[in-house]
Amino acid sequence: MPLQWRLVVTIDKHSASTNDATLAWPADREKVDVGTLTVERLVGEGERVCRDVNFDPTALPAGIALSDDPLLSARSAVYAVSYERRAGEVKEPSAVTTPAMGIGAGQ
Amino acid sequence: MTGQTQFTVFSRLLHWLMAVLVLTMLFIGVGMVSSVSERYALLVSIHKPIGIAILILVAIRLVNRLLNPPPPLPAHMPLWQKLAAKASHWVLYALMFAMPLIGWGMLSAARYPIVLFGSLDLPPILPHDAMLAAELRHLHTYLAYLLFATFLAHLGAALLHGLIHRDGVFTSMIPWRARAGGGGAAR
Repeated sequence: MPLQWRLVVTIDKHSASTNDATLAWPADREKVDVGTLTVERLVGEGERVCRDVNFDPTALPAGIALSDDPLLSARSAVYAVSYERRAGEVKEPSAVTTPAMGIGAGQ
Repeated sequence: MTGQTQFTVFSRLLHWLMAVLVLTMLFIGVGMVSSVSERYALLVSIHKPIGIAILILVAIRLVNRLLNPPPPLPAHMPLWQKLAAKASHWVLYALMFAMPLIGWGMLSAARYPIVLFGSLDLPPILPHDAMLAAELRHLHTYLAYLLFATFLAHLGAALLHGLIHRDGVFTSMIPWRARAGGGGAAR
C-alpha cells in the first residue's frame, strides 16, 4: 500500500499573521482538504536521488504561491549555500541501504 | 569628416540596454547571495529572467557586431591600447554569453526548477550532476568578478577617451547623435 498524507489548507479570513511562524493561529479556522501526497516507493540515498538535490521551500508547484513569511526566503538562501557546499564534496557510497523494491512495489 | 564616426543607432541601443542589464545583474547577484531576508527570493526570481534576456540580447548583438563593424579607433592610439580595447570587448562578449549559460547550466546540473515567469520553466541543459553543479556555481562567482573588473576597465577607458583624450572614441557610443567631427574638433 502506498503511504498517503492529506494536504490540508487552513483558511484565514481574519487577517491572522502569515509572516510570523511563531504565532499559532486560533483553532477555529476553516480547514479544507486540497490534495493528497502519495508515496509509492522508497529510493536509496544514491546518486541523483535525494543526495544530489536540494530542498528549496520557494520551489513550488503551480497553484501554490509564497506567503510573506520571511523564513521561506531565509531557508531558500541558506539551503542553497548548504547544497553548494555538500554538492562539491567527494562522496563515499552511502552506508545506508534501502530495499531495492519499495513500499507498494511488487504487490 | 568622412567615414563612420559613431556606432549605428541599433548598436548603441543594444550597448546601453545591456549595460544597464549587466550592471543591474552584478548588483542583484551580489545582493542576493549576501542576503537571507525576504529580498532573497525576490532577487533570485528577477535574476533568472534578466539572465536569459541578456543571453538572447548578446546573441543578437554578436550578429549585429559582425554585420556592423565598429568605427575604427583613432590612428594616434598606440597598438597595445588598440589590442587591449579589442581584447576587452571580446572578453565582455564571452562573459555575457558564459554567465547566463553557466547560471542555467548550474541549475540544470542541480535539477532546480528554472522558473522564468509564473509557470514558464526552462528545460535543463546539463545532466544531473551535483559535483558539476557545485563547480559551475563557483565558476559563476569567479566570472562575475572578472566581468565586474572588465566592466571597470571598460568604463575607465571610456572616461579617459571622453574626458582626457576627447578623440571621438567615447562619442562613438553616446546615445545621442555626436556633433559633426565626432568630438575630434575639441582636441
